[in-house]
Parts: sequence; C-alpha cells; structure tokens
Amino acid sequence: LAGPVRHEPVEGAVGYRVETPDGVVAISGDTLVCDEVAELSRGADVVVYEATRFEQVLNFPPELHFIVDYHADTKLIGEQMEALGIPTVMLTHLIPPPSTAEEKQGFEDDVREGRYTGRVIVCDDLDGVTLDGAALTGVLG
Amino acid sequence: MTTTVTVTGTGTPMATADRAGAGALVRYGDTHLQFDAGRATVTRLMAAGSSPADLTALFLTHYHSDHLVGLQDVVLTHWTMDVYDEFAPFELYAPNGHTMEFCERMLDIWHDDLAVRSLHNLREPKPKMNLSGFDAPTSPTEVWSNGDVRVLANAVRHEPIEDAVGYRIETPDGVVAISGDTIVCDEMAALAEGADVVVYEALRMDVIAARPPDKRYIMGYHADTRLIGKQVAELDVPMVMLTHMIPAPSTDAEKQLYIDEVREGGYEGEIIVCDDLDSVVLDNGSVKAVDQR
Repeated sequence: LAGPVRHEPVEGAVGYRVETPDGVVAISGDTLVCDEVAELSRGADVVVYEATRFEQVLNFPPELHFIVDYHADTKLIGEQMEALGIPTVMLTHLIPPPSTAEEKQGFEDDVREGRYTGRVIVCDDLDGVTLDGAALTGVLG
Repeated sequence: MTTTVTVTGTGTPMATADRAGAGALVRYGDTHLQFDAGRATVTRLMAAGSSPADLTALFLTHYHSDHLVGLQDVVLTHWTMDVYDEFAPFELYAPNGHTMEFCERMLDIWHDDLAVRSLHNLREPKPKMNLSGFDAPTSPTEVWSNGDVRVLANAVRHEPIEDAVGYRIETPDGVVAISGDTIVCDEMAALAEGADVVVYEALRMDVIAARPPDKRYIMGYHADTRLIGKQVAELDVPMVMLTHMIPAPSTDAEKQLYIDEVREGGYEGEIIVCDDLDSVVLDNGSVKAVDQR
C-alpha cells in the first residue's frame, strides 16, 4: 500500500506499507514524522524510517538548516514508534551519516530519549531482518 | 610526486555483487582524472579517497550504458555537495556523436529535482558544467592538459559503437593507457606505446565461443586475452591491469585463467586481474606499489 507523506516542497511523495503472511513492514521514504507515517505504520512489525538528528543539523551552518523542515527527527521517531507499539525500527538515510559506533549510538540514544523501548537498528547497507509469522527470527547486521 | 591509477569499477553490464561499473581514476597530486562512470562510481570514488568534488575532469570513452549510468550521479552529487557554491564547474570531456549527445541531454530528466532543491539551497537549478566535445581522433591527440599532465585520446575499435575512444595519460611519473572498450587493435597499440601501465578490458574468447551462435556477438568488439598478451608483449609494456572482464571472475582459479591466457599470448610482464579499487602507484617511470584489495 502507498500513503502520502510530508516531504514538502517535494510534491507527491509517498511511503509504503508491505503486507505479507509473515507480517507488516512500513517504509517511510523521505518525510517529517507525521500522522501520515503513523497511518502507514500502524500494527507494523518493522518500520524502515529515515532519520535525521535535528540537534546535530542545527549545529550545521544556517544554510543547511532547511534539512529539518522535511526530514524525520530521531526523538520524534522514538515518540511515534513507542506510541504505536512498533517492535523494531530500522533507521536509514541517516543525517549526518554515522561512521563510528559512537555516532551510531547517538542515533539510538536520541530515539530512546523519545522513550522508545523496542529494537533500534542503525543500518548499514545490506542489513536485513527476517520476519516469520509476525515474529522477528533473524537480524543480519 | 607520484601518480596513482585506481580502477573504480571492474564490472560489465552483467551485474555482480562486488564489481561497480566501468571506471578508472588517475591521480597526480591534486589532479584527479576520472575515466568513465559506470554504476556506483560515486561510492567507489569516496572509498578511493576522492569525490565528485575532487575531480579535475571526467572523460568518457563511449555511450554504452555500463560506462555512463553513474555519470548523472557524479554530476548531481557534485552540485548537491557544493553547499557554498564554491566548486569549480564540472569538467566533462566526451567524443562528439552519441556520447556527447547523451551528455547534452542527461540532466533534462532531473529538472524537477534540481528545481525543488533550489528552493532550499538557493542556487541556480543547473549544475555548473563545462562540456567539451572532440572528434574521435585517428591518432593519439591531446584533448586536455594542465601543467605537466596531459590526456590524449584515440579512436578505438568497438563497432557497431561509433566514435569510441581510449585514453593515454602522461604525467612526470609515467604513462597510463586506458583501453575503454575495444578489440585489440593498432589504435590501442598507438595509445599504449611506451606506457608504464595499461588498463585493458579483457574477454575470454573460449568462454564466449562456447555460447550459442547468436550469443557470441561480443567476441566481435571486445579484447581477447591472448591477443592482449601478444600486443603488450610486443610493446614491452611492464604492467597490465585487466578490467571489464567477461566473464567476471569470482574465484582465484577463475582469475588465474585470465593470467594464463595473457601468458599464452607471450606476455611476461606483471598482470593484475583487478578487483574494484585495486591501485598502482607510479613514481618516476617505475611502479612503486601495487595495492590490491
């Protein structure tokens, strides 16, 4: 399924929800944390969520602050995912891109500050999770 | 100073997990010259310690998609990363004809992306780019130079592709020839004469000859491993880097077959059956180091 998301000024941006016999996966695309993503994610087993550390970006030069206008803040992701009871979140499209374990931990810490208690995967390319009958049976890091 | 040759992509149109699309990077100090831009070229450039912003110029050999499909990525990334509008214009060189026509049109489909990003970055929705076309020459001819580095092009033989070229890069450290896609031909010999390293596309004819007749056409326009060996032996080229290998070798044994066939052609110099990012460092006319991943 597709649903509109909020990536203005980009028009017509969508996220997706993939339903299989094993479970439900939501994919944010690029978006703010918004009710539209909540709609796509409701009851999902895994949400692949784009993530931006707003606090970090606001330390960038002013010319780059526009990024916070249309990407998903890590803390707000945590709040939304906890409210929806999502068990696993895979973070991707990471701004700023983490290159050390410590920088990755920063993403997770932010999501935890949003009070999220599920599993957080700060993804590298080709990270995988496997769903089997709505249970997560494998995480391939 | 030294000159470093890095193969950014060793793949072909037939995708594999570990091989990016065609490309080679030649670095001499701050001069970074990229040749072709196949799939994942930007990612490989970053891994090599270069970047689209660091490229002094990019040169294309011909208009097959496996050599071009990463080009828009290079140009768009150069524009996107130029937050302060301070990069020099992107310098792109291509043989006139279909390759040049591709370059002229390639940003058209990105119009909406450029326009919407311009709302934020407040820059012209048009990457700064200087596009320089040249007629495919019939003998090695200079198409670019700066200080003591120059790039020559020569038509190679990749028919039915028209106006395919190979390149010859001359720095104070030595001479590098890059075949592009071609059969082994006199035009390639002219580019490779006196070279210290030749980056040569390679095809194992035996494998292709075993295919059904209507699937053998690539034999007619790629470089046979044995003929490569014969040619670079005659030219006394000390080192050959094989790339764009058909079929793509995935084991040491399969790589060894490439070496064996080049040796059958009579070649006794050094052969590198390249993986992505394999590099050779030239220092004052001799190979100083080989960095194989």
